[in-house]
Amino acid sequence: MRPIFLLAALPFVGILGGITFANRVEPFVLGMPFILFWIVLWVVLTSVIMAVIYHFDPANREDGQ
Amino acid sequence: MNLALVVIFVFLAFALFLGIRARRGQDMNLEQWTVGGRGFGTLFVFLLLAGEIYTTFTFLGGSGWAYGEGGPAFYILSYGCLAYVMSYWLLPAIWRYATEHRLHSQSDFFVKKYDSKGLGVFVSLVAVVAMVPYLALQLQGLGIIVSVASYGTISALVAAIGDLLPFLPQTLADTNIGIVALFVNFVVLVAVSFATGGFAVRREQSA
Repeated sequence: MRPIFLLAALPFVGILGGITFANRVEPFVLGMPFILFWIVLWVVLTSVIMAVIYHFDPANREDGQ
Repeated sequence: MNLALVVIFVFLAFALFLGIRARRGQDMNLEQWTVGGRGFGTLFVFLLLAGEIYTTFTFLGGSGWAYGEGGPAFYILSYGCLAYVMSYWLLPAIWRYATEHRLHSQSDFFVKKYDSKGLGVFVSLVAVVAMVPYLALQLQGLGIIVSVASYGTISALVAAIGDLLPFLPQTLADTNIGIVALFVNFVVLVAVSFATGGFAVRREQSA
């Protein structure tokens, strides 16, 4: 278990934990109700987080070669 | 013949063309058919994964659910996102193991990994029981989509059968009994989905 893998817990915290606090309609962000914006934001952030993990994961370095 | 129909038929013809074309110069065996001779590139796997997650549920079920229920439909975005996070560790491990042992299917994996034929049979049975209603629902959904897209010119039943057409050249050209069986399965699925679908509609009307 590498410390960088702990990053993968963030989407779970953000989506499953944060949803209780983000559960509101106002304010609208980019035309979306706040809760929808919150989830979409986390979908995008998850991609970023997984890209970071992929970059630092040694398993992918061996496979690439 | 409206424009939507033309688009649908062009896509159907294109799918048929690709299906016939794909066999050229290939020795068709089970490995070719199930996993493309293990030669899929990154982009193709990415597109396959996209096709896997954007089903008729995305277009009909998801939007219908959001329209009817509102907020709870946001779970669709959430679970897909979190499932892929877990897949990052799960799927490559399975993929490496399967490549190493030249496995073809889910049940192959369980037979090999847990060294148990019984478990493999059990997994296959569960998969069939789970997949029949799932695929029946997908075909029914596809049928409705094509029917609506053709402004009702093509009925949903005909459309669902039409969805099977790309499988046809494969089936006719190949003596492989497994593929013939698969095609028959799909036809049965269409029949099942419309028998049960028709039943549901009748029940709704009588209620």
